[in-house]
Amino acid sequence: MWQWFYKLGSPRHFYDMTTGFVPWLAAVTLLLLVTGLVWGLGFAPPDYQMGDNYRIIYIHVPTASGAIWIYVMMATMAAMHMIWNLKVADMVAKSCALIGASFCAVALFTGAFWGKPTWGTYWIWDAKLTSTLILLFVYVGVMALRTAFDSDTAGSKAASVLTLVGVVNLPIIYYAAYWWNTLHQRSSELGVRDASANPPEIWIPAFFSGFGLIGLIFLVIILHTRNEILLRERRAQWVQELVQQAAAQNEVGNA
Amino acid sequence: MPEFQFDGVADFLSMGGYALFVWASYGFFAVVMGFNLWLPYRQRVKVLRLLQARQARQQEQSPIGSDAGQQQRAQQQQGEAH
Repeated sequence: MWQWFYKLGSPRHFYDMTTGFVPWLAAVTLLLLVTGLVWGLGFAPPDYQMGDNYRIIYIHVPTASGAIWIYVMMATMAAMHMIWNLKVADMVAKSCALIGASFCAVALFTGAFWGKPTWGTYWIWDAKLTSTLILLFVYVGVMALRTAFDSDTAGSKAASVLTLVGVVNLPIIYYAAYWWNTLHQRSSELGVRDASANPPEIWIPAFFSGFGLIGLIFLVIILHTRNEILLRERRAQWVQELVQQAAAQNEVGNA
Repeated sequence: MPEFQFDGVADFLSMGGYALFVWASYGFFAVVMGFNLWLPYRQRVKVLRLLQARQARQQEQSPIGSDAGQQQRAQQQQGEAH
């Protein structure tokens, strides 16, 4: 078990191990997402108050919590990079930033289109909404800071530090609806956390779309990290052989 | 088995009057997730092309083993002999 983790820390092993894993992950992800979204859009019963508008839940909740959990992963990787100087951890952290920002954007966008008919406004400076917007800015800041240095190692270090500082925002988002009595409802009232609050016809599709998006998160991060490995390990013998092989198979077309 | 909740395609698309909100949300979601998946594939092609070009350049610069390099070396030796 530990040996397996230890091996993932080696760029070459990370690349080799994920090569066979990616197609399976992609297939399972697609299956879960299509099932969850088709079910949620067409087959789940309408909400007794919000009608069909609540169907946004099947993408809003998983992207919003995904944005937080991607940040947790990015911060863990940043810490591992800072403490053990683990190269792969830094590459994974770098790969987390863009998809995290995109999940944040989707959560805010879908929230706006849920809020308009339900609350009467696209946007309000509610604690949960505002702290989620700050999370988006932190993601963008981490990406910008990484590219702001001439040397990659300096950029990695700066991005790691900012990532760890940004962790302070996470509990604020998570508990915003409990700490401040503003507009955004608590998650338990939607029945996601407390299964008894809503019938299974409503939360089962959310289960599918949620796990589908977890699959998509890992898929995208793995694919980005693999590219990063090829780029940073370009002097290694195995990468040079792999590049020659790709050229022989004409994988990238005529350059 | 769960039943389809709408009467035909038109009713499904109208989303009980919330068509704008539901489809704008799902549309944005689809575009962003599609982009998330497309980008690493695009970057992989770019990275492989970059590394291929780099290898080709290196073979020109350090000519051992390549035909062009052998010719170059032969010319250099001729030049030194004269």
